[in-house]
Amino acid sequence: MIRFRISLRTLSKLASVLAVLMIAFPAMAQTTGAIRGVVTDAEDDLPIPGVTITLFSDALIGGVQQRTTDNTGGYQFVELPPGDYDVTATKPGFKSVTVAGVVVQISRTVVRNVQMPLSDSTEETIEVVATRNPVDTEETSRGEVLTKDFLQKIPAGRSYQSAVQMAAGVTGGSGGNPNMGGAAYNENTYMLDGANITDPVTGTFSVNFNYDAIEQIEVVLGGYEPEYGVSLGGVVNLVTETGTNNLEFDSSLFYMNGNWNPKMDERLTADGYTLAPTGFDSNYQNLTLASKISGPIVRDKAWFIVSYQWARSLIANTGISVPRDFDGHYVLGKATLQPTSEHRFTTFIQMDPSTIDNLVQDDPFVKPEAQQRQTQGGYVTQGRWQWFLNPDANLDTQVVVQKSYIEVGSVPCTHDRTLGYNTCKPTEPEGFVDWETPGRTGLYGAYDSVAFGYFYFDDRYRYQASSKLSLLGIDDPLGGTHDLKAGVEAVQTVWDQIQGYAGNTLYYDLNEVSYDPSTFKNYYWLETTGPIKFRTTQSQWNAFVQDAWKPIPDLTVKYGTRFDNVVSRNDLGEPVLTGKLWGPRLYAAWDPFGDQKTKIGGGYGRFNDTGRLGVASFTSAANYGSKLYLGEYFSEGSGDKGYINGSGDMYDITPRENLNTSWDNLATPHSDELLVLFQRELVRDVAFGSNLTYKMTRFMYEFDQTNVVYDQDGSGVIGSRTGDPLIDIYRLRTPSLARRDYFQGDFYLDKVQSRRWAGRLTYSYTQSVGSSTQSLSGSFANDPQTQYNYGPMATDLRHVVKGYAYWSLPTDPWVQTIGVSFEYYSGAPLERYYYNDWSYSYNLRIRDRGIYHRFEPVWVASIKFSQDLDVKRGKLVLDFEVNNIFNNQSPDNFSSAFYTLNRLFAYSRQDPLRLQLGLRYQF
Amino acid sequence: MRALPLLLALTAGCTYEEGMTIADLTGTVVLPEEAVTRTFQKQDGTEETLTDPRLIGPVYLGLFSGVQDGLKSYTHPLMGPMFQPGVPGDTYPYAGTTVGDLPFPCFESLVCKVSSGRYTDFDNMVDWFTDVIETPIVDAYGDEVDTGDYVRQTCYDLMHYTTDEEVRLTATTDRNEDGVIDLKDLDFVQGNDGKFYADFTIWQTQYVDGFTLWGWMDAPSEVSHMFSTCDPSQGYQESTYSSDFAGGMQYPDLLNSPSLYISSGDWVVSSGGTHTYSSPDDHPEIHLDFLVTE
Repeated sequence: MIRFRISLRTLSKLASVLAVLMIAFPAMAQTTGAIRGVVTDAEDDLPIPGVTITLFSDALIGGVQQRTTDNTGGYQFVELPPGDYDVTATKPGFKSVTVAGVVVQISRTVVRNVQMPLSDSTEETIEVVATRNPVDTEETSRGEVLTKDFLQKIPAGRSYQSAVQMAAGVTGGSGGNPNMGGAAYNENTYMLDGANITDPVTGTFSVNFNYDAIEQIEVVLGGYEPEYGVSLGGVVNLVTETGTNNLEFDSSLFYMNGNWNPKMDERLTADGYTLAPTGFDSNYQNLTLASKISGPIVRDKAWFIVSYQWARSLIANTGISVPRDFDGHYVLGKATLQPTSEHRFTTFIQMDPSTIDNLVQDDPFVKPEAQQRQTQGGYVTQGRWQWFLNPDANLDTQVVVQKSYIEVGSVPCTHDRTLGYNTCKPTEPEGFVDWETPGRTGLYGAYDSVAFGYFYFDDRYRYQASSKLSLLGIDDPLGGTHDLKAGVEAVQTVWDQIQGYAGNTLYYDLNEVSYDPSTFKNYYWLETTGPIKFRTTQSQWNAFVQDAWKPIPDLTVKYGTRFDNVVSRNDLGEPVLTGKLWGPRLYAAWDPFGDQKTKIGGGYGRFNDTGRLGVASFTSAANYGSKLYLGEYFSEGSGDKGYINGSGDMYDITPRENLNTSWDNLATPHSDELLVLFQRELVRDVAFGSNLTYKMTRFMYEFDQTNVVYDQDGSGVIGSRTGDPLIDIYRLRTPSLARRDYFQGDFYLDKVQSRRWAGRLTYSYTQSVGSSTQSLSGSFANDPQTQYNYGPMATDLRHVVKGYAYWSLPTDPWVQTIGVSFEYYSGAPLERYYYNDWSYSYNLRIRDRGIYHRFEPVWVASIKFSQDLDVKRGKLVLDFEVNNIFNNQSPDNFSSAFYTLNRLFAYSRQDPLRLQLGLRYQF
Repeated sequence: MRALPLLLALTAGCTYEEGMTIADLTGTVVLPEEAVTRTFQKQDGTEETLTDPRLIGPVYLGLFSGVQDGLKSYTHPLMGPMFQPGVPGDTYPYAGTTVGDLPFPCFESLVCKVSSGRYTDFDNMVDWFTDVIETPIVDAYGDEVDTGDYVRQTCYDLMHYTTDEEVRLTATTDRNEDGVIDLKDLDFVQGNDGKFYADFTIWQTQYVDGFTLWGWMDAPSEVSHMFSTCDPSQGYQESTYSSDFAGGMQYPDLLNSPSLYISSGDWVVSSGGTHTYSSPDDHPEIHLDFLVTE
């Protein structure tokens, strides 16, 4: 082991480090790995001190690194960018030994012991190809690292959001945001090269970038150390490529089509759903054009990578005459500078401006001119300084600024009539958006509608500064060594919103005959008090300290805690969510036989939810003031003014203030997790493993209705505390009844890369029961329904099987690779709601949550074939991928509450068979 | 392992008290034997007095700051200021519930005439309307409905239900676990003393020390057999083929302005029968023993 001695020089450095910690700030998730091992004499197996260990990799900026083994023969390299490494051991009197192809993964430590035979000459060398140990005897987290090989060779969907689904314990979700470890889709943390990119408002992912730029993805579902931050769900830790000393170029074009599948309207009709008579054809096309270039700016000193991806998709799947048209441009540029062995500087900037036209895809009566456009995107930029005080001590400091935005308004008009999109009037210029003329809309599902004048501008900011000090290999006087880390972080997030209606008025029209604006009757209309603009903020600072203690060589104990101090304020500046939160964690991993082939581990951890701006904004006061006017429809045969003459022509006034309140004494939602880990190598390169997780989540964010009094089953209102049951007053709470209980057992076989193939097969058994599937829900709004709230949730997928494998055929030099994936999900509990007289919706339960019925099982198999062709100065890769090769279309989502039908029908089925063709050029 | 005491210390004290007493308040409603006797005016102008537990209408229970005698002929919750002559002031209830509510009755002719928890099965319901009060159920075609199966099937068709439990018009739970669903499984069960007893739960109520439980039973109209607490123009809107009607629902201010809906024949708690809470664990017995006669 490395002996870390604190010298005066080091002390002076530490003093300056502490000063930095006090004025700067700290943080988090690991983006590097480590290699360590023991060098022994091949003859007598005794440790050899003084061996020079040289580390080389294309991924290693700064040139080769060297260490010398200590008295125990131990060596260690830390803060290594993920990639393939060669380890060479040399010492006079021994043959040099090179272990090639050591794969370093994020946050993992590769144990690579070396045996050196005696020799008279160091000129004699032995080169061995590294085998990957399938058992990581020191790792205490529950999760997986998806390497570039895996990501490129498995049919994984070409997005990190879909690739994450390959990990055991990750299921379903919403909008590309998975459920991880039984948590809600908006309770995960996303990291990009160490920067937190979780949307501060929604708790979902917030950026897109070129899939080919990903080096590795670490998917962590539990047991993670304090430096990974707070999350009731999992952590998606993305690390992108850095570049190398070689100029490399990669460009690809992928096209996916699913149009030849049964038309969605036919499928829905078979389910008993009647669509509007449109000339609709289902549409699914996806095109991505991606390029990246990387290389040296100064050899061994400065590298760069620039990547770009254009993503365009046309998807229409619910009977809409125009498709959802997504057009995104993802840019990621990164530069790494290591002028000396002591300092490494990294900066990146990511941007992803995108537009989505024809946003409304759930109402078949919406006309093209009533469609909406959403523009979204933003940027993340990071500046990072890694200061290597010595080989076993470093300070990692970073500053991150993120802005993301969403703007929603009417879809611009076009003179191009071939698209069928909103057509411009002759006098209107291309792309014209009318922000002045009041919009018109129709009652849901009743008739046609025209321009919808709602607009929404949303800007979100995150300012983050963090610093982490790592002191590794510290000798413990009582025995063993410590890897100590401590960090602090400060984060400020801001959410600015502007909402309004064009012309400050919105007409609700009634036209039951046909689409003809001239015959519209105003059903009613709203005059609003004008656009509203408001801001919600959160201030947070946190600190953590953690230690990985190895009291004996085969036992690793990881413990530590973090402290989060958070204040979230609504638009009045009132502190809505405050917390001073401790998150202690204790885990251990033991190799009982000391042969690197068995691991028994586990532990306990507490994970806090510090809240997000979407929760704090619940009590923001800003709201529309509006006057409601009843239209011609109500005056037929009784009046001549076109409306009921109530009071000053007004029928009703909605106050400007949002009446939602917050209970003074809110708790902070948290999970307590118990984890048991087991791994055992069965045969060479193949390990069997099992993870058992029990997680209790308590005091989740809820809102209840404080104004109305319901009847015995919650179907009707019989009174109100204010005397006006029409006024909704909700109260933010964290009741003790808002809870989840989650158990999952994973059993897996893991075949690491060797003999041209790798694979992983996982079976997971899950019980996931609780009261709330989101971190802010209204499960307790209807008091009598509280009795039914607790039960199996959508994440209660009892049996899940996931299998992935790839095989590179022995056809050198033209490499052919086949990748396959198989996923099976037993049916999720089905929610069925019943008619509620009061709310005119179907939110009444008569049985406990989740016991009514279960979905049918869903399974999908996909295959991918890649052919490499050597061409001048590079390589051409042909990709052919078939998703869902058996074209299963089992329902994956039902509705019992659609329009006026109180019956079950599937409004969503699994994605049908799709073909993807890809062409890639690399040099 | 030396870190364990520290970790335990950190986790200690993490229990959380919301600081708000939320409780399911439970108790028993008691109706006198006379509450199931009522005199109806038949269509031919004659009167008929009936005694039948199916006459028990929905019971409304509310928690108020207090009650007061003298406001009405019956004990009435404390009332806020009257802003308009003739319009009672608001009582501002803290919470409340019902025993029996007014679910969608599947036929227009049954709108506002059926309270849940009063019929053992659909045949029992048909029997009540056809044979007892002699106002047969009529379907959308004007034909008389003479079997429970027809009622059940109509409900299933209209609402796409698959079980009686979803329809919520009849008893579906064997509450006393004697193997059959009968009179002893309805909301109100007659005791040996002839009175009718029903358990109630006021769900998830924010407890206020000293609030008072008050309530009344809405008896069906002597002429139309409808409940006065039900608004026939509201509720589920059925629009299928020749059926086009609203299913009816409770008025949303029954506890705010109860005097607007309490009418002759209804039973109201007497001043001695109310209960003022001293603990959320109270299990009061509230007697609706005052017959409104005006």
